[in-house]
Amino acid sequence: MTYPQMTRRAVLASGGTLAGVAALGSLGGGIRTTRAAQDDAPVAGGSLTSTLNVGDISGFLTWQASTGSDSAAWTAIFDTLVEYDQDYNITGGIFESWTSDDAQTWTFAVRQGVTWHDGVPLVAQDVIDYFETIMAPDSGAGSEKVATIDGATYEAPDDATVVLTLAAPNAALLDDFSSHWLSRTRDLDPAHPIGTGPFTFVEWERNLHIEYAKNPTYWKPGLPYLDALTLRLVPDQDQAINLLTTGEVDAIASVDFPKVQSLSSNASVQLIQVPEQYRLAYHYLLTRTDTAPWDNALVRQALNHAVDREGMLAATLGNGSVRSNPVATGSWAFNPDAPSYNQRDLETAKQLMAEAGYAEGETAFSTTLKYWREWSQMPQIAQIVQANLAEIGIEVELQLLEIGQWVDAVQNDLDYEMALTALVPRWDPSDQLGNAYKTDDGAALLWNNPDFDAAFAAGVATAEQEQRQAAYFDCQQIALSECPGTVLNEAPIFSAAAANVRDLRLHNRSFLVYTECWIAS
Amino acid sequence: MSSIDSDLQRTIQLGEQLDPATQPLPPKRRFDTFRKLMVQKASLVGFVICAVFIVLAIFAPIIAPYDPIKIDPVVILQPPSSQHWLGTDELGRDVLSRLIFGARVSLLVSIVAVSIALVVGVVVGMVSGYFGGKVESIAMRCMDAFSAFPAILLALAILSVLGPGIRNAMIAIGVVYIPAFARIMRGSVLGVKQTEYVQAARAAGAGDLYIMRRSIFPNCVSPLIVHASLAFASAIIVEAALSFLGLGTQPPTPSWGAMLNEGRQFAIQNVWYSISAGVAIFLAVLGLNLLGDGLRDVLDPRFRSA
Amino acid sequence: MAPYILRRLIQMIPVLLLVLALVFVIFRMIPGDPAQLMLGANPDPEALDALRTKLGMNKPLPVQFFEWLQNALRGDLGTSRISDQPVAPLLAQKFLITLELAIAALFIGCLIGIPAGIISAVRRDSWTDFVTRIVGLVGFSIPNYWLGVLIVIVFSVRFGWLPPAGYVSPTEDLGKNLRYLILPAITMGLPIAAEQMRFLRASMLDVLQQDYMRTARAKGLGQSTIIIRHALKNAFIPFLTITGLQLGYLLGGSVVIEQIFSWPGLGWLTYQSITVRDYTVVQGAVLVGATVFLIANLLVDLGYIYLDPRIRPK
Repeated sequence: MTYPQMTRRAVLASGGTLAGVAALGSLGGGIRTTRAAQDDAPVAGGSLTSTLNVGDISGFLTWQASTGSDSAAWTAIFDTLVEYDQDYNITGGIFESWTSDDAQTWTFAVRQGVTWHDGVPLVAQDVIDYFETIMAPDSGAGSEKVATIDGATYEAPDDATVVLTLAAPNAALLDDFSSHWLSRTRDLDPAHPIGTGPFTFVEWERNLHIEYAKNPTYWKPGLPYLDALTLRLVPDQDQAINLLTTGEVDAIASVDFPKVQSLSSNASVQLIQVPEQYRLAYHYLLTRTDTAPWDNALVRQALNHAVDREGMLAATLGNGSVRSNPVATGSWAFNPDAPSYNQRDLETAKQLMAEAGYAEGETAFSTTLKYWREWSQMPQIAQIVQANLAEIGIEVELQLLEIGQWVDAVQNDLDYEMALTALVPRWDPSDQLGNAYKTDDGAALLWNNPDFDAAFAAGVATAEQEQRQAAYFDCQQIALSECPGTVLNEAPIFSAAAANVRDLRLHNRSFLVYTECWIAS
Repeated sequence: MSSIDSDLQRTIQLGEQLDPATQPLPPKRRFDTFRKLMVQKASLVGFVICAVFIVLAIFAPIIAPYDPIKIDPVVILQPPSSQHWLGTDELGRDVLSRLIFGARVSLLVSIVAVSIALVVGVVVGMVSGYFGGKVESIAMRCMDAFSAFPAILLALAILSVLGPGIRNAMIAIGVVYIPAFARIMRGSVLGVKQTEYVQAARAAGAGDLYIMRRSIFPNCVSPLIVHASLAFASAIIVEAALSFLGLGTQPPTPSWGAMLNEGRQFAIQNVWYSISAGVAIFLAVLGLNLLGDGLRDVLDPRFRSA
Repeated sequence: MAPYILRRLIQMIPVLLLVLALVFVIFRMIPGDPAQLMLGANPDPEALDALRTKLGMNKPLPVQFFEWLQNALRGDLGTSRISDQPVAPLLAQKFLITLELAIAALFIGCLIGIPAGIISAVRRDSWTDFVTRIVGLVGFSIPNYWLGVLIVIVFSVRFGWLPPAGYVSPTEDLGKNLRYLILPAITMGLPIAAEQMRFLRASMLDVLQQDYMRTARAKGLGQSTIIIRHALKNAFIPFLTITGLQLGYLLGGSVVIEQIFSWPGLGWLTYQSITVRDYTVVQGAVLVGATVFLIANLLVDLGYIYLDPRIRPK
């Protein structure tokens, strides 16, 4: 199990715990995306100033774990090994093409004619160096990134080829590679990062801004359109919006859901969202499955039936969509027949509690819910869970922790009964399911189910989509009956930009991509 | 000054101000102080404000029209109405009721935090002032170190170690306020120690503990009271600021600081949500400052407030 | 005088050492160390150990402390683990940014606080005095960060006179720098004005009742001469104390105000470094903050001595 958004940087770093805000979707007519003016031809030139709603980024060491803000800052300078296109199909990045028969041995063709920002040509050895840095024990590489190539052998038979043999077949490798930003680790100067990406690094002043200039020799023809890009660090969410509405900046990384309505009625501002079918973020509730009372699947099901997901939506001002399955509805792996808890069913919940041996009308048990504020609505979500569970006799005490403490308590010490966090998995279903239900070494989730593990393993062992789909359908069937972890509604994320900004893309891993962005006159 | 930083600082500042010059005042009858206090209009106003908040805090369950933590999805973020005088918050809770119960939190935090600082500060100040020598220089260097440590960082560090929450916030604020009380106490003790009646007590063979308790302490109370009243005011703002940073009172317990911050997001839907919390903090602090100024005028004639 | 200053400076050393020891202990007690935060979820224990060794965290705490101290004496405060920058120049840069805001805030404070305090004292119990005192108390009691939020709503969002937040270096564009400076400086300056006004009024009243003031009046000196030459000069002593201390505290940087106004000073950097457990920066910042505080204290005492020759150190 991984918590991709919460590694390394405390959200509290933003001061007002206002960072990384999810605003929940479907406001009806008010929302325009930057693609509104599709017919216009892009115009090159101009500069754009955007914000990152954090106190600071965590640096440019791309083999380390990253937050959404880091990803935005890195994507400007670096290319990923492979990419997702606008419709979330894998496409070439540093690797132009690839072949694999068994999802275990992969042969990648490194894109030719690409140069680093200092003019040095990109060669296959650069990728090997990057892999070796990840595997160096003291490089501080993010554990997710290590997991991608752990136990693998890799070599560069020539300047244009990388051959990678994994320890076990992994159909999700390409998805993993979409969040590996390639930096040249051989002669790296952390103060002056060099990449192959659309913009070159100019300056990073702590707590102030990161400045970029156009990379005139970028390998994507005609891109980028912007001559210069500045990412301003603005920890206060309200102030970021003020900066946008007063024209001080052209775009802001995130918009809190309470502000969505007023911004959508502001003609000089446009809201930016990931298309609904591709949204990944959701609120996630862990229950400790190895000890009473949550070791009883009946109680966990009762929890799922008792939670009022519709009501939760109302608490986020009607934004968002109800969700109890970790797999996005738009994914080919989404199983429409798996148990769903989208509708609240208090009667069934009470019945299940009775079956589990708890008399109705009495306090069944008291428990503690530990959470942290990845998103500003987390306290509200926690309080709704608290109120809902009180109705089936479960008394929940809420404990808000700082991120470091949450990780320490929940993940390291397994000192929790219930824990609420935010998950933003990657697009591959193995990650969407693995994030929610897979028990790896050291994971907070303690649920073990041989059937689930077998089905999950089958899903990554083959590159055939039909076989993968069948396996993941089984996974959802098992996990959503057993309910080891609970999905509490989708949390799509808003960004916003000035009306004249075009093609500013919000990646479904919640960061803005400036490569194709241009400014209409 | 009233950001979290400056507020912690103000308390210390005032301590420094009072420290070197503080002279023991002759014992007074308590009623005398109170009567003088009530003669001043300003402190009367302060007293009334404080009394109102104390009544609100004590009788909150009776006065508040609604349960402050009862979630009601039907009435989310309503503007003020006859049912909800200050409207409702993002979970449909009555803002007025939360404000009234919030008085409890603010009161509790300031009383406990100031008590911690007072007790520890008095003991440290008394011991170092009375015994002098090595004890004094070590104790006072420690106090110097505590106050030279940027106050905000000290509070944040303590909260990071102990974890956020109202209890730990009280401890953190209390610890930060200790040096000021210790200095005031020491300053007073140094003055009182030389007086004739203490010398007389010592000559009569009274023990150290007895002298400290009976002869010295009663004569050091006035500056402590003055400083404590101002520290109360400051503690309310600091608690609010810590809640503003998400480190103070935890939901669903209503806290003015948390309401001020949460409400800021919803200013479009219910503008009174945030403003009323700000006004509550402001009024409580104003009341305590007025009262503190009055106390200072009465108990310490060398200082006259504006 | 010189031996007195020297003695005071020597006295600072044990205090600073205590402060630094305190930082070392407290911040290492905070759960979640940098190695864990860097590696993210489910780190390999070996990698964790290797990284801790690389970061120098596997040595005993006293050893770490004395190594750091040794380097600090040579002016080397280590490097930030976030940006790989040397800490000393980073802190120097942030200190200057905070200094600008502090001076501006103090300037605004004095600009309003001094005249208000004098008028209030001279026209004691008048209508002007009454209003000034009320405004002073309000300024003294309002939460600073809330005042900041309100000021932004009025001057920036409503009227659009000034940018809501941000910073530009004065060497890059002085005009822009000042535009960004005004709102946070007012936010921090108004409460300072309130405090100064209260102190100045109190000490002026004190002085105006002294015997020598009566003498001055008896000598037939004009009212304004009395106020400026005599009352003000003497009332300035306690006023200077409070102002010096205010500056000392302002220079530590305000975490909340700096973040609200995106003013990238010392307070913001320190707070952010705590949350990401960037120990070297936190230690350096505390060293700077404590030193500035102690020096401000010393300067205040020296000013005291200068203004009031009766208090000469032995």
